[in-house]
Amino acid sequence: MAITSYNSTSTVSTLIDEWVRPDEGKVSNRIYTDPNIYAAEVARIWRTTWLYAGHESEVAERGQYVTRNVGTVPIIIARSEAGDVGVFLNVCGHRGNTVCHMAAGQSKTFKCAYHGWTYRNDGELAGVPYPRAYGAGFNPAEMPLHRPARVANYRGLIFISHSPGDETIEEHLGHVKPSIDRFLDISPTGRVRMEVGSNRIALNCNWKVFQENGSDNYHANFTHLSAFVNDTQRKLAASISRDASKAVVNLFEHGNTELDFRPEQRAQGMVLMTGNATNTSSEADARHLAAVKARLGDEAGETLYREGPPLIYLYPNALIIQQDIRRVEPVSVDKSELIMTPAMLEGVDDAVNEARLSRHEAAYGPAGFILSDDLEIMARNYRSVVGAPDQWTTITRGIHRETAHSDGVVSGHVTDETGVRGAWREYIRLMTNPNEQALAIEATVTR
Amino acid sequence: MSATLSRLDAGEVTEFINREGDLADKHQYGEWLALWNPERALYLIPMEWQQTGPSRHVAVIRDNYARLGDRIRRLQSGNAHMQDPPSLLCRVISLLEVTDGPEDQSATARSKFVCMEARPDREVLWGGEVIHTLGRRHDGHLEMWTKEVRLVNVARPMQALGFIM
Repeated sequence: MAITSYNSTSTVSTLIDEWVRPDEGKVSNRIYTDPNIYAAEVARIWRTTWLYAGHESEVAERGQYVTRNVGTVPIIIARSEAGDVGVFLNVCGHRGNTVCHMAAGQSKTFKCAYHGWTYRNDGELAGVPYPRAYGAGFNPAEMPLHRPARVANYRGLIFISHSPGDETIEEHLGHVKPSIDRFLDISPTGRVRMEVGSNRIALNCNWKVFQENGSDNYHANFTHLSAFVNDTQRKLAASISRDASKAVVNLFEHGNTELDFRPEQRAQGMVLMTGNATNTSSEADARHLAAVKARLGDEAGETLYREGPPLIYLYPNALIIQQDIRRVEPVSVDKSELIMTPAMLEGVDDAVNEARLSRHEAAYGPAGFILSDDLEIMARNYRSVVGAPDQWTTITRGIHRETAHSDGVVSGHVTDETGVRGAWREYIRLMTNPNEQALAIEATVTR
Repeated sequence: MSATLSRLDAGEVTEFINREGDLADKHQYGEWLALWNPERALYLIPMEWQQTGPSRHVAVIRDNYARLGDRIRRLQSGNAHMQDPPSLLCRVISLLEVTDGPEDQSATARSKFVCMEARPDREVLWGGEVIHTLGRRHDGHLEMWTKEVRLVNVARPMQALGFIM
């Protein structure tokens, strides 16, 4: 298939039709490695749909800020002197320089180092040096830092979209919201605090290799064979992901998925060893459980505490797993970055949060017993698909045994590729229906 | 009060630090683990040394002796994909400075290192400062109490870290 130009909707759409076929259970290896497809993804997915950008507790105090790329766009998340959380593009309105080059800090202003234009932490342009040269019509009040087209806050989680649109974050999340709530309601106040920083990890692969891994549990008993260091843990983990497991994968709207281990946990009367609710043996754990029950009621609180946190993929860029929120960010067609942030709980003894942090460090840092093997497997995956462009991946697993529920949610066995296929359908929806802005951006993306 | 280890045995400390690094380079985990004092062991690759703020910060590695044992067992299991094959390693340790430790018969050793890691798909350069605290066993041999590795590139996106730094 000779492709001479990618700068049209029809060409990309034609390629997507050819290369992405979830209903047939196959995807071309080229979809991971083609630089023009990557450019289209930046414009049509990353600059279009809702993205997880961070958590409001990362800027808990007035004047605190963090900077990062979200959807390849440099942003600042800052809490103003009035106490409001704002999201701004980290781009000076004068000549486009970075207005804040630090990763995090506390400041009332952001001063561009190039020519000294100075913005307040609510995004307003406070002043520029020697302003008379701009003439009488120059009004700094009309030149604040740009903001993403849409910014929303769901229970402390900040989402942004770089394109205007009518769909609210609540509408976008849909049926995955109760699963997100389970992550937050394990806190006695219903709030978490992202206050202990993040691990930053280099992914030697296209972002979609990570994204697919995030709704795949088939790999658990193979990739993570060495992760569980004692027999009890190993048997427990193995039984969750075995052929006869009652655990399921749920596919929600917009390619969002959850690996729901609870049906198997209930069948076996067990709790996940690596979950939040490992035991209630300590006084700190007992106080935590009592506090959760006080807020949610005895039965709901007990159930939530014992069944532990959810495992959710929010397409395209966030994975909520155990005590963490992971955010993936595309860097180039063959490189991505993973930011892993453990969430501390409000209203618990320090020992409970120490245990959460310790579990994160054991499993999920760059040297973690689980994540480090994922990193190796993802890198190998990418190397081989690059070398075999004419081959196809096979994502047929469980395609004939899915259950469609009345609310639109589709379930499969926990090892099935129901979530993987669902994410590809969302990919098709976004990639084949670009708006005008996305097409304009697409032409500018470095390939 | 007897003389401190540092004044007596800077040469012995240097020899210990070099051997410890060489065992790690060679993946000789059993011998490496045997260098530790199990009650005191803390193997730490922190991030907060580049951070500000009062709270405990997420670390790259924060192992007590039990978790170190888990880490070593995993590496020796044959199923740790990220060390299959094991990384080829070459570290150079320099600028070693030995001072008095926190207790009698202990020493604090600061050194700089760079470590070249070769994997089938990539080369990675690691480097930073290492702070050891060492003590002396009843049999006269030195032992490791803590090892803190302050990587200069800890705030950068990090490759999988599968070996003992």
